[in-house]
Amino acid sequence: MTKSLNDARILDLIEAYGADPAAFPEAERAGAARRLAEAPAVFATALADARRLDSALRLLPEVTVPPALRASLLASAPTPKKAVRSGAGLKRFLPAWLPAGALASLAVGVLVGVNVAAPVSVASVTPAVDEADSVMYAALGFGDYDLMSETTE
Amino acid sequence: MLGDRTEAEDVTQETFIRAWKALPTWEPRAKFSTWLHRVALNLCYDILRKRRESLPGELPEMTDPELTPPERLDQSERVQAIEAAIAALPERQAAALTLCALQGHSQAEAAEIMETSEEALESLLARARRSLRTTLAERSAA
Repeated sequence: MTKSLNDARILDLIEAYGADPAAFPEAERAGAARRLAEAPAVFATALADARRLDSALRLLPEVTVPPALRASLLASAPTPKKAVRSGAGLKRFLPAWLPAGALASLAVGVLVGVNVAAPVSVASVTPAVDEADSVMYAALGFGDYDLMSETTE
Repeated sequence: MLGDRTEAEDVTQETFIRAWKALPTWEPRAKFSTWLHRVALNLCYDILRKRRESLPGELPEMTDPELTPPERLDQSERVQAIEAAIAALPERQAAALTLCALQGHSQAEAAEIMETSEEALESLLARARRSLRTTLAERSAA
């Protein structure tokens, strides 16, 4: 779904989300990008201001989950027991079902306490978070995620 | 949001401990990652409130008149200046900025984590970015 946009709305989007239309809400992204390409002079000052801040935010280093923290999270998982929400194929146990990569992706996301993440695109973060969600749902018995294909620690 | 890696790791640990405890009875009313972020965010808010209570009004880095202008700071100092500016934002503005601009969550996801509307989230983001621009410009001019 797309929305029609006027120039004032595009200025609001730049003010809130920065200079990159990829960060705009999906429904307004294409229309805004089109208008920005049509009339760059109208938005030049706002874009320049936004780019300066975007560049500053990009200086922030990427968050990584320390191996010791990941190990600690895995160690803190509850005593293995069977998921009970559905019957078929649910032979999953904690913590053996927990792929380390998915846990790490969730832990990175949860490390909101440190605001030192390099700005990232929605597209780059979504698959990792979706995978982590799938793992959790499978562990809870809500999905058919094939845990056996994942490497566990 | 906290600007302190040790505290952030403590929050992460506590978040997962709560998750493990909640797993047996957890119901999928929201995405698991959304719920997990919400728990982490609330823990961050708690820490920030405790900090404010123990250090009333203390934000020394934001008011340091001796700070070198960002153009003349090395990268490490510039990063510290940006982190300090983010840490000085009101907590919900900092959360919105962290979730959207730094972690790449969509507006819908960030709004759900923060239990607010997308319109309110946008307003928080705009105010956060305006404050940061002003703060960093003041540092440049100092």
